[in-house]
Amino acid sequence: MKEKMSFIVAIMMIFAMIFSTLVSATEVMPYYNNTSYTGTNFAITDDGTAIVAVSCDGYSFTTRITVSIRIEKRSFLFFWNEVLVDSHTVRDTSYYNEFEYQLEDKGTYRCTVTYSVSGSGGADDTISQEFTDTY
Amino acid sequence: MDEKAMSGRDKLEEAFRRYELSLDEKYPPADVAFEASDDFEEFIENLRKKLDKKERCCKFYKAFGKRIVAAVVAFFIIGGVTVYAFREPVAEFLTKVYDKFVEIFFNPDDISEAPKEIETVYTLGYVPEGYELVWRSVDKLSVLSIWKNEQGEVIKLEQRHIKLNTKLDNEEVVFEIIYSNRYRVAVKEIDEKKTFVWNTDEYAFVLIGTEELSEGIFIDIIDSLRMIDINSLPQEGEGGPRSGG
Repeated sequence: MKEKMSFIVAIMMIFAMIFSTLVSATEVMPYYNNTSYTGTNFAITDDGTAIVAVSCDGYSFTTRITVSIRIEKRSFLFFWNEVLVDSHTVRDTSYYNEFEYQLEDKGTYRCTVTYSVSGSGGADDTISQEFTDTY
Repeated sequence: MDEKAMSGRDKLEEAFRRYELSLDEKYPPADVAFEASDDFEEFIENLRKKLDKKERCCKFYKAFGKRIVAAVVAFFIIGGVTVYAFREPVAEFLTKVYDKFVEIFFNPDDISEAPKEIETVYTLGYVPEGYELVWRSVDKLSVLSIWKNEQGEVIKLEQRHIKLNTKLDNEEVVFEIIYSNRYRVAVKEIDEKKTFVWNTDEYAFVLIGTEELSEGIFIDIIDSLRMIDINSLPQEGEGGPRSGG
């Protein structure tokens, strides 16, 4: 009996390990009306240059893409001070670009990139991604 | 030795010996009928079966089990040192599937060794007939290459720093994970276009193309990924601005 229970527990642990990389979210998130894909990178180089690479691909009915970039610096524990805000808008079905910002002070920075995508597919999509990096 | 010369211990031993002999005289072994109860016989039978099973398992393991284990270990060792081009990246993208979109990202531990900026530029070794390269821009975290044909159909390849966060529309689309000859690829297909996401150990790639091309052709395109000499690239890409296409 003890051996059987040990065997069952071992099998359950193996299955848990195998499927540990697959995560299913049960929360309901707003769907995309006008956006097919967004891809974002954020990194701070050794010389204090913050680089933000953005990419947004819509559909044939996408009419406008606005990319907003906000960079904040951590001041104390959970407090963040805004360092810069930038925004770019194109009237097209896709947008791709890379931006560089020179940071003055060393520390931990948080970058929030927000895509606002308009079109005839429905209400505007608002898609945010957040990154942190340290200079 | 007479009884007076014997020690107490010797007397005790002699007494036991005589008692044992008397028992044999009184109860000859041949005349004793030993009848086991049903429970006892069942117990002995189960014990015998267990011992037989253990013995069979031991024989099997000695004969074949060790060879099988050795073969499995050898397989994994050989698989781990195969040529890079044919070995799947160690860093595999993770997916979070929501009702309406799919998020693709990477485990920070898996990508901690990746270069901080783009160091090697990749291109496609194969594109379908009629497509020509019309744009390539090389930046620190991303490379964008665009091929276009006469009908205005576009194939876009994004090479990104592997610390990429991607979100793919998932509403009423076909989303699946497939395997080309070289990579594990996330595929999203809806109406007018197909989007593919995959990675090496250093970079993530996004390929976007028209749904007119079959998945098999896209697989060939993905598998044709190759490095190019960054010094041979022109400083500025040709074509229009970074939007559209």
